[in-house]
Amino acid sequence: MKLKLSTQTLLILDAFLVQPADWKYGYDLSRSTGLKSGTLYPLLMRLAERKLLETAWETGQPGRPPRHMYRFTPEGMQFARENRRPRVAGPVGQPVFDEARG
Amino acid sequence: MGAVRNLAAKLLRVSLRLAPEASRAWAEAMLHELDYIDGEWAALFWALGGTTAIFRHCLREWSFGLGRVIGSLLGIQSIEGERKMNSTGKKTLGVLSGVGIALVLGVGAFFLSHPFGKMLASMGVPRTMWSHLLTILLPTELVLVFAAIWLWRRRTPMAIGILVTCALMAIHVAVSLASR
Repeated sequence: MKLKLSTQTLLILDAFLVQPADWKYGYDLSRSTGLKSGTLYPLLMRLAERKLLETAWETGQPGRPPRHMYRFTPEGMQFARENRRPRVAGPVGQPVFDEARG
Repeated sequence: MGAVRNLAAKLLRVSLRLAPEASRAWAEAMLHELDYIDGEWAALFWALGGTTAIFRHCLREWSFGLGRVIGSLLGIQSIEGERKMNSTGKKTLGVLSGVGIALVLGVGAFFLSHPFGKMLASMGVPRTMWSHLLTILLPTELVLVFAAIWLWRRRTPMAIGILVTCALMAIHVAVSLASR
């Protein structure tokens, strides 16, 4: 099934594309994307169901519970690179209205 | 651990206990993240969101399972992977989620009845059946109505689900009082 690319999904894809090899935690993702747990986790579940995310449990620090971690699978990385939001900024140093002038 | 954080942890533990196998790891993930969240209220909102997410995931799984069962009974071959729901299905899911949220909020609001009862007693209100009913009903109904108003513009079907539960609770109380 095709994944719906909502603004929230794109936010998550962007967050995972920052240092994509690193594992990320749910609460950190919530803070970096501004998404609440009720929005974030259903999206993470869908991405994991489609094998775009891999999940693992971190060995907890002493006295603290282990954390669930997430990162892109190779398919996820490819999917994100194909679908991430197009950047607004143009080439550096180019005047903004050059193209409009023709 | 403060009372609010305790409530948040309890809420997620209940979700974890009730969650089906497919959602259990996610419920556990949200529960464990609680220990890394600064702030009592932030933890409670995290737990409320997490509980909603788990509940919606469960509903989705159950509705797909039910769809498959009905499909097989009717002899319709379901296409695996085609898990798209039509708008009626989404609205139904929204209303059912609203009912679930109302039940969770109702249980949370029930804990407010004790301090509310103490407050009434300190105001000199005598402890009668009516004041006892008021201490239970008023906080619960208020929490539910506020939740429905808050959700009305964002998730109307969910708000309808909450209001339906709210109305059913009120009818239940009215009927049980009338039958006494």
